[in-house]
Amino acid sequence: MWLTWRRYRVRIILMALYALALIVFMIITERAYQSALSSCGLRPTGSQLRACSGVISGAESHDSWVVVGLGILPFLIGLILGTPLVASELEAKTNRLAWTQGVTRTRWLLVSWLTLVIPVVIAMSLLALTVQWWLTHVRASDFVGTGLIQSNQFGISGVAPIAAAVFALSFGAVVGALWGRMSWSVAATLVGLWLVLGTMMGWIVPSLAPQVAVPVSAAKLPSSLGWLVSAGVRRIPDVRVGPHASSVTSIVQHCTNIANSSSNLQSGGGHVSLVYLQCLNSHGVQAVDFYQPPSHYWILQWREAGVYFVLVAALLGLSMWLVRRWRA
Amino acid sequence: MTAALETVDLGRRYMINWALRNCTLQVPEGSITGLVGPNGAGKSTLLRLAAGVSRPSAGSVSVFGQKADQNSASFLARVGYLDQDRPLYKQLRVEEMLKFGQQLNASWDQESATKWLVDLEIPLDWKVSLLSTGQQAQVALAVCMGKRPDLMLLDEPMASLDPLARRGVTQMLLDSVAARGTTVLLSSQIVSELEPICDHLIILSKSQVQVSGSIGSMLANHHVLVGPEGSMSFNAVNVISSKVAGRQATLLVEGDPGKLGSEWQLLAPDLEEIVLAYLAKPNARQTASSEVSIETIDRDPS
Repeated sequence: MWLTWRRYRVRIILMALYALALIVFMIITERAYQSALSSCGLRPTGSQLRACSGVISGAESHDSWVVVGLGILPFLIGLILGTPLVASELEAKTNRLAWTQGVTRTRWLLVSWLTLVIPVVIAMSLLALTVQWWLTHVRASDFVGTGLIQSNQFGISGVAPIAAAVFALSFGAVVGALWGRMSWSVAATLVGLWLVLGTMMGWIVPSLAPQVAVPVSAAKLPSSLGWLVSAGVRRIPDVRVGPHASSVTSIVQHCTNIANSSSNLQSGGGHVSLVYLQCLNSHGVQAVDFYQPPSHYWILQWREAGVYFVLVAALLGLSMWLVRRWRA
Repeated sequence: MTAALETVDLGRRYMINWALRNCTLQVPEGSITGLVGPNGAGKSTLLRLAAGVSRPSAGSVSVFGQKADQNSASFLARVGYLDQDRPLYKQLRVEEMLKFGQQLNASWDQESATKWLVDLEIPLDWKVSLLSTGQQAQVALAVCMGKRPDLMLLDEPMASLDPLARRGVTQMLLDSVAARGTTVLLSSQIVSELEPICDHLIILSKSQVQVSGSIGSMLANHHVLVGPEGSMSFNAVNVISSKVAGRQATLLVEGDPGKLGSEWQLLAPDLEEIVLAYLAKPNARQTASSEVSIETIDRDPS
């Protein structure tokens, strides 16, 4: 443990400073935001929020900085701490020194991994607590009632980012053990993490709890019901299909054409035109949005963390196998 | 005498090339055994296999009766290994390298390791990267020695050392063997630096064991015969090398040449002569060695 700490202490301290900078930034921006809201003399209700739109948009710009700052953390952890764990040893051939001392390769790897995981979990937990506090301004101005379930906020809050950080560290270690060269391992870790984390957020997490299907209404904001996962159409039960509707696809096409011709179908995924919806309904088809409601926030957080921890266990097993099998 | 290291048909292949093959030998416990051979003969491969750093492609290797396996703590505790590249954590200070050894080895001898480096005037508070190549080699050796292993596997430990340091290393090895009965297997390109410290010798050539045995019996069993060219017929001996200069022939033979004619002169070769003769003829093999405590069964790879 001492050896790993000694070798990685500069990197660990740099990562800790980065986390500290994020925490300080969140404290400053949150206080500035709350102060601005107070100066407006407003409780954040729908009509009054427009008067403070400048304050809200200012806070949102801070949001994006924090989202980016937190979003790249798993990549930094994977690249700076995970990848060198085995790859740098193999590249410098110091594995021939370390692995011929009095501890087995398995123990060496476990202790090294644990030495890095502990500060990562501590830093990520502190960040998670700060993020939950920082996002109170989101909850305070929660005019659409969605809380932290929106994908941007979901991805940086809760317990899942802690698990994602441990996963990134383990992933980097496995890639390093697989390639044995730093340059290749860094590139492979970067691409691999981007793919895995992207797939997790885009595909796996929304499926970890039953989605709620809500018929689309022209009057309602699509984001008002939580995390909009996907949109689609479905047949309305017990409604006869009209003459233009041999299939749902052709109905959608037909109604899209009608809506376009009346120039009422809004582009960009916002409101859906009444003409379009009425056309669908008249053909026995309903437009629906699939949501993860706010009530699923913690279920999704824990399940996502669970998936990461299963992956971590698999990666740890794989890296142990690789290290045990490594031939000089 | 029991074997500290024993290999049976040991082989290591990299892709399609054999770095070592059909290697069967024993290194007696408490011996200092030299390992010589040309570049690429398989010396480092044999040492890496014995240290468990590398895994055999064929055959087996055991240390004190235990399979060489770096996933076994009891194996690791008994074996010390010095790699030919002298890998060290360059960002650590010298004293931290010793702390590294202390942290990772239960039987670590901090006093001896520190004294060794202090005697060599290597600054303990310097970063390893600032040391000369020779000083780094000494630090690597101190880490290996401080572990107090029962078997030390040293890959060219004298390389990059100045003559004074070589003498120090030689003395350290001799002291270690005398004090603790440590078995040492060390490789070198230079026979003359092995002769004063080694009691056994292994010659590797073309990835195979050519000769292995005690140096004493090796010297006793090899003879230089000088005589007239044209009368060379020795059925009882194994002719390792022969050269003719004018009308005079000089032979290095293994075995007892028996009663020689008066025209033949019998001389005692030195170790370097024997080694060079074998290395010059990679296919030559030792056929007999009386009182040999290291057995060699060198089988035809086919």
